[in-house]
Amino acid sequence: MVEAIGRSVRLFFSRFSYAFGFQLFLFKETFFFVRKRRIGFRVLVMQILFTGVEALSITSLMSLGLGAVIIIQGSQYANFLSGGLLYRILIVVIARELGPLLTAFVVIARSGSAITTELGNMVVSHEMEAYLSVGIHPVSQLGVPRLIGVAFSMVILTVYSNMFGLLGSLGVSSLLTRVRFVDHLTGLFANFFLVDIVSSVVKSFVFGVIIAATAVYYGFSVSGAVTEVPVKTIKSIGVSIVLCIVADAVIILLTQLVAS
Amino acid sequence: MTAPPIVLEDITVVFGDRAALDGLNLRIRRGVTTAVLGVSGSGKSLALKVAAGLLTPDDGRVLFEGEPIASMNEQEYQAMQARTGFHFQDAALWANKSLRENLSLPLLASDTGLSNREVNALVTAAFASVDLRLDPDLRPAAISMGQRKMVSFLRATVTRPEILFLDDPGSFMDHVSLRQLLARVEEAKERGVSIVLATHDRVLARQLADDVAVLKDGRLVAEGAYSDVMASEDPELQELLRELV
Repeated sequence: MVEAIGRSVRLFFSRFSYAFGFQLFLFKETFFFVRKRRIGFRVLVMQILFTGVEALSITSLMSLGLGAVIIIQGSQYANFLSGGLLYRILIVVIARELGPLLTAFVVIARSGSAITTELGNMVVSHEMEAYLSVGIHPVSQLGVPRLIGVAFSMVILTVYSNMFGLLGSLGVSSLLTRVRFVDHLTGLFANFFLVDIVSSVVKSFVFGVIIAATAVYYGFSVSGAVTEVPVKTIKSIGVSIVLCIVADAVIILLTQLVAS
Repeated sequence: MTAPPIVLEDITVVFGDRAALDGLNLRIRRGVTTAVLGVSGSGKSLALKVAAGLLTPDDGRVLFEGEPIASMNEQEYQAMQARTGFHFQDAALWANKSLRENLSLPLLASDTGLSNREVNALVTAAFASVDLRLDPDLRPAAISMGQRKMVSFLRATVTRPEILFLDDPGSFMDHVSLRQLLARVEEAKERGVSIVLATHDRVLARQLADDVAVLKDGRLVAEGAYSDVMASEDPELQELLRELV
């Protein structure tokens, strides 16, 4: 019994130190990426295309729906659709909270899972060893461009998602009330503060880094069997969601500390 | 006197609770072709990958020209890989790259300062050196396994390495393709390339090898000049050799 506990604890710390070392290496290589852009630049472009561009339609649809739902639900309460409170609620809920988080969930589902699956399959087919055999570290070649691409795309997607969510909600609000869309827009800008933009951008960047680093780690942790790939992909998705929510809470706390 | 290109010292690789390589010692001589012989599962492919620095052993060390691979920094490791080539048993071509890109990347990675035009010229020449009749812009999935193995061989040799690792080069290949590949290996031998070959094919070993190392269950059971090992009267070794193709 004691031996089994000891073995589990040792295994946990061994895995933790490996994961920590892996992430350190990944971030170190990211720092030096510009120097090696000749061989990794295309992977970066493809990653931005897949994560940032191809997800625009689904993200905008989701944000429009979110904005509409908030307005329709809020319209059941008296005075919700009039006054500055409406704009603050929309900004806090869409731009600062649900916008970055829901965009992160879309990116986890699309890009995080794709990265883990692709890298895992490359491990199984010995493509990683082939990179090593020509003197290229696969983490530098495959992991770093994905990290940069996903983090960059997350920021762009979140800005885009916020824009659609806010405009969509104002559009629905204009349909439900006699307030003109332009007046709504003026009210929205009057209630938008720098901290809202900074908070949204910081969150989306942090979420992007978390999603990519987690997906890359689980992709590389496949040790050789094809059956491991879906298992690692599921783990990657679960861990990414949990880490994004935890990071969200930490950023909210830090923002409030700074604001006070 | 220069150090041997590759030395394996007490190499142990463990999978779960099984030692796939168990205290393996091996010395590869310069300009010599060494065949690592053994039945399936004897650890020969693993020994090749450890020798090439693609896998880190659980115990022991690999010396590349006298320097432990484990203590090399990134630049030294890259410089070492630029001087070696590895032909994989299952080709291991990069699936999301064209055949041309599969051959270009080693040249771009080896930091030779070649321009894109020069890289393209070398890649085109490499394709022309074998009778593949392939569109270099195809992806690996569009060609047969035998053709992939030939492209994998071209990838391993496009940088003209000093040390060439060949992991079971005969598998999946038809006679014509294999003959072409062996002709290229013979050319490399004539240029003084040190070749390490993992195979269970005695005919192939006889054709190419100067030295042999025989593995059984991850342990070295015999090594030396090909003719000496084959002439050994050790009944256990003879039994093992009879199990090979």
